Amino acid sequence: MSSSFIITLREGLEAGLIVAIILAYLKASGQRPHFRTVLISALAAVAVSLTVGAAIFAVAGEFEGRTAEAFEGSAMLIAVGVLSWMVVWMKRQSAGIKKTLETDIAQAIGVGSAFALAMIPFTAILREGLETAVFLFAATRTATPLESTMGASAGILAAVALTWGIYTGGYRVNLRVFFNVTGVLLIILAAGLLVNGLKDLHEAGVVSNLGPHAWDTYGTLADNSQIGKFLSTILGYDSSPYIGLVIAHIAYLVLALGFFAFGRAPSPRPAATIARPPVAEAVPEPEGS
Amino acid sequence: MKLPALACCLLAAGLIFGGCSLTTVSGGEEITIIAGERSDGMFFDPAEITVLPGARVTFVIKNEGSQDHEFESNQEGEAGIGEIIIPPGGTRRVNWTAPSEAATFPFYCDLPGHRAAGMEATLRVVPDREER
Repeated sequence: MSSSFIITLREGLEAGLIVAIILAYLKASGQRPHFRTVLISALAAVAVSLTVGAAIFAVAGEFEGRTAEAFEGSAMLIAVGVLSWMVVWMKRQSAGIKKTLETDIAQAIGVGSAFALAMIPFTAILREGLETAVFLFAATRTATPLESTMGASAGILAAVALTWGIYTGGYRVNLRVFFNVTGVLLIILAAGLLVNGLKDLHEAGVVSNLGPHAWDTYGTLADNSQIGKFLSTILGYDSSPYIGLVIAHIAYLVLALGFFAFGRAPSPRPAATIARPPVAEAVPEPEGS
Repeated sequence: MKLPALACCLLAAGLIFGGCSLTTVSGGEEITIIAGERSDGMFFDPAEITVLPGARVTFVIKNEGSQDHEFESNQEGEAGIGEIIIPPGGTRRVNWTAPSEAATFPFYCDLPGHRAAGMEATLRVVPDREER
C-alpha cells in the first residue's frame, strides 16, 4: 500500500467528517440554506491547498543535485514534525472538536455573518489540506510519480466514498478504530520519512556524520529490488544503514508510539460510531485532527 | 457492502495502485565498475562505458575504497539512474535500459567533494557495436 494512499485516505476522511458534522448540524437546526456557503468554502480550502501543494512541487523542481537533496531532506523532516503533531498532539485536542464546530456555527448564524460561517469549514479543511500537501510532497520523494499519483487519487476517492457513505447513513464506521489504526500507520510512515530525510541531508552534506554502517543486508534484500524499493518507501528500509539512522528510527518509533498509545484519551465515549444523520449527534468528531 | 468487504476493497486498491508500477530487477549484460580512491583523487574504472541502443545492462559497482561512494546519473537530461550508495567493500547492482538512440550521459558520485575529486565517468550509447 503506498504511503500516498494512506495519507490522502486519512486526511480526506478527516476533512470529509468536518464537512459532515457541519452539514448535519445545519440540517438538524433547519439551516439548510447555508449548505451552499459551507460547500463553497470547503471547495475554496481544497483549491488553496492544491495551489500550495503545486507551489511546493514547483519550487522543488527548481533545485538540482545537493541543493535538491537538502530541500527534500528538510521537507521530509518538516513533514515528520507536522505528522507527529497531527497524530499525537491533536489526539488530545480533538475531544471537543464537534462541540466546538457546532458552537462556532451557532454563533456565526446568530450574528448573521456568512463570512464567519464560511471561515469555519475553510480553516478546518485548509489545515487538513496543508498537512496533506506537505506530507505528500515528502512521501513522493521516495516513490515514482505514477505510484504517488495513483495512490493519492485512490485514497481521495476512498475518503470521499467513505464520507458520503457515512453521511448518508449507509456505513457504520468505528472511527476510534479507524483513526487509531491509521494513526499507527502514519507514525510508521513518518519514521521512514525521518530516515530518508536524514539520509538526504547527509548526502547533501548538511548532516556531516551519521556514524559507520550498522550492517549490510544487500545480498539478502537489496534496496533497489522490487521488495526493497517498496520497503524503502514505506519504512525507510536501507540495506546498509548508518548507526545514526538506526538510532533515530528506533527512538522516533518508541517516542511517537508511546505518546500515541499512552497520551490522554480523546473522548470518554467508548466507541464512536456513526448513525444515520441528519441528527446532529449522529456524527461524532474525528479522533485525529 | 459490509465494512470488512469495503476495507478489503480499499486495501486491494491501495496495493494495486501503490505497487503495480514498481520496477522489477532483472539481469542484463553485466558491466563491472570499480569505485575507489587513489593518491591523485577518486575514480570510477572504467572511465567510459559504451552500450548499444536499447540494451538492458546491469551495472555491478564495487567499492574498493575506504569510504562511501555513490553511483547515479539522475539530473535532468541524464541517464535516469537513481542514486545508490556503495559502502566500503560493498557491491551494488543497478539495472538500466539504454535509450533507443545515440546519447552520452555522465555518471558520478554526488557525495560532497567526490565528483570534484574525479568520480565522474561517461556512459555512451552508440548504434554500432564496432564503435564500442
